Amino acid sequence: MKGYGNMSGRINYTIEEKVGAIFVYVFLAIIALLCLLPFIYVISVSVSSDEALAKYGAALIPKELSLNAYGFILQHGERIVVSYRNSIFIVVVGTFLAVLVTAGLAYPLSRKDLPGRNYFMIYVLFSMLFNGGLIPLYIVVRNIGLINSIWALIIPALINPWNLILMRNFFMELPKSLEESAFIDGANEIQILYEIILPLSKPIVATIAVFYAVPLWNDWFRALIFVTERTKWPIMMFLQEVIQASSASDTLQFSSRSTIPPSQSLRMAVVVVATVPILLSYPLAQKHFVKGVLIGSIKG
Amino acid sequence: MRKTLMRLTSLLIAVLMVSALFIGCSQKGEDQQQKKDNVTNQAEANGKKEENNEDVQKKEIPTYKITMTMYGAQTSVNKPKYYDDVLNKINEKLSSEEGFKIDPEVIILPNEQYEEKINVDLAAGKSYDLVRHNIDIRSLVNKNLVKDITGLLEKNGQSIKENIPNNVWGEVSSNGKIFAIPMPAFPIWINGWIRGDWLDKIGMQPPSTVSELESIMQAFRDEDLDENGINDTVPLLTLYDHVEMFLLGLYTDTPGDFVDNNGNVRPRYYAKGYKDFVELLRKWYKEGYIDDFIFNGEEGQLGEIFGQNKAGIQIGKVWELEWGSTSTINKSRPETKIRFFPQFGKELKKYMSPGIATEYVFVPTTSKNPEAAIKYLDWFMYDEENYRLVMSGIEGLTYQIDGSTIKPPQSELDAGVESIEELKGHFANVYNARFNFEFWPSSTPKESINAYKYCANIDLSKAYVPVSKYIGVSVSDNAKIKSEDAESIADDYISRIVRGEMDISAFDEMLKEYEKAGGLDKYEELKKAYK
Repeated sequence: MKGYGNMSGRINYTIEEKVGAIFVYVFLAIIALLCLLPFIYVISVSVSSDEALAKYGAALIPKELSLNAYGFILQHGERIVVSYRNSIFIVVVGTFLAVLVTAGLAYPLSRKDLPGRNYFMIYVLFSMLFNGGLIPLYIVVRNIGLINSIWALIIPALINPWNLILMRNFFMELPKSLEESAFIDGANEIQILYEIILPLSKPIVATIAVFYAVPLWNDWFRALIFVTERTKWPIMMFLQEVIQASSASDTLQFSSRSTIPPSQSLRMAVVVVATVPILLSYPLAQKHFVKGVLIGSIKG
Repeated sequence: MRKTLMRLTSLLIAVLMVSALFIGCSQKGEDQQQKKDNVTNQAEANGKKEENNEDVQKKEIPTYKITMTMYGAQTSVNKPKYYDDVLNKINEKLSSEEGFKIDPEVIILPNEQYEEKINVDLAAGKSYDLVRHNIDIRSLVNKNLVKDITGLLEKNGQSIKENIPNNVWGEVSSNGKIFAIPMPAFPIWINGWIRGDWLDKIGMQPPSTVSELESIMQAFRDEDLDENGINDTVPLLTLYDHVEMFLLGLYTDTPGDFVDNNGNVRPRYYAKGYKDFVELLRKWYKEGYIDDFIFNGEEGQLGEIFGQNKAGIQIGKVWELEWGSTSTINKSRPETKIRFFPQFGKELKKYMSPGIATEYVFVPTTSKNPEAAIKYLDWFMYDEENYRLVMSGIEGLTYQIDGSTIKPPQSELDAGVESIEELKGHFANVYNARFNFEFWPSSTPKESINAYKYCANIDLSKAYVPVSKYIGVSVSDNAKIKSEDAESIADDYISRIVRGEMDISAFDEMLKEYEKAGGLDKYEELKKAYK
């Protein structure tokens, strides 16, 4: 909206601009509401009583409030606490190591004077396009002794080729004069990377950290395949189990017949408990995220 | 010079990386060798065990690790309080009666991803001794994942063999070999659930014939039983598969794929009487007794819609009231007085059965202790005392019997323990429906118990199991895909006929389209094997 200035310094907008702005805001508000609705639904069901849900069904505004579901979670919370602890460990340690390793590979690949750089890039791109599959991955993880270890959820996910390319492209845009002057001052390659390059690369580091952290938080499939001990399962795996426990589908689970299926409100409460941390931490990294998505693509 | 050296170094590193990739791919050969070693070790262990049996008191009793897997949910991570006590008791009895002990590990995996997880584990060579499953065993046999246990059962599973009827073994056999131990439970698993409070209002009893059902549906449709002033109640809430299993047997004595007079294997649509069944549903749709939910609904919605007074009758699975979406309604709205009613046995020519052994336990080819695993099952599966020990633990310590319910001891209940498993853990991944039905957890609704007992105890001679269950071959992927496409076409025709969009005469056109789409290819393959 451009408007035009007047003598008092205020910007006056034309009627067309005001109408246009109203349309844009209304449209964006509708989109935002549509995005928010599922969350409101989940929260609403989690604080509704089972009786109200049975009588009236789920509603955006609960008919009868009840915190029984959260009480149940707190009362039998040992499993949630353990799963949370695992998820936090996986995300914190996994993200830190992933960023470190990715930067360690992206930086040399960004150097034009690295001999054989193209061969290494082809190797990286090859892994991006072609995949050995789940069973070979399982065999590799088993043969390096990581089956049933929480590290099976971290180490195989340490490098993502897409994130690597983003980081490499960012490093390529940094002025070479910085490295040259550091080199003249006696710094070696590793010092240049960690003391000069990385501190200047906060946007891309934050972006890549988010790109690694969110899938690490959300991942349950790797836990299902590589880890059988429940004490090492992340929160999303626990959530899967709680949601599926309510559905007998085609099987008769006679030997676990004494486990009562959780109510709808309890399932939604577990969803809230499992997703709130990542929802709260995302806005903190948002400004870096938006900038960072474009970093690797825009030249000049 | 320096540049050349750097280039050569880079090339060497690249070659090493590619070599590592190929070396990793060659690991399969080593796994096969490892497999052979395990078999050799097992044979040696068996040989050693034979010697031990001769003088078991003097020599150390062998302990076998048995890894079992099943689907389910488990919310506790702590070791159960009395796990060691129960295990010691099991081993005490096992060692004195059978001459060995076990070190059991029961891995419980989530339901929906179970098949994928098991496929990955078995394909990657992970060792399990007993795997519980419910898919067509032949698909696993074809992938060489399942051990032929015919010989093992002859040697170590006499009790299991004697207690399972011969016809049930056919469901887990292929080419005359047995590949799994079936767990017969319910020959049929569809029945009716009805709002008892609404029945009381109209002064009727649960239906036992089709005409009684129609009278009730008419009353549910016309009387405003939910008292909301709106005529929005659909009397019967069901899915097509469910109502087919409930009623098809009224019209044909082959409610499932069958062999016709010419020796051809044919799908159920070709049975004389199937058209009459479709006509009945068409009539019900026109009367407003059923609506589009029969074709578009989902199982998980049954309870919600039922509880919101939008329907008065459900035709669904036997465990719906205890485990399905209707369980929440039953608990939170006991005033609905949901009651069970069985299939109309007097009117049915045959009950439509999906198979008597819908679940089974198999021994993978990667098993390390198959003999011990079968012997362990044989020891307790059909022995009441041993079964109770393995499944419920020690009376007074992990469970108490209160009339016909089985539950944790009172002191544990007072401390907040809800299930026996929290006290004892799991020592097996099987069940025996016969023993399970003697006692019930206190949480099982009474109407569910009635439903389970009825479905488990029908006259087996009246249960029709599809012919394909006994033909010991797996159909080709191409035929399966064609069959699925043809079934979609058939479903579409049937839904339009029921809704009144097409005349009933379109049924014959449907059969032609079904054939054109290659729906009979699968049955041609089955016919060849049937001979």
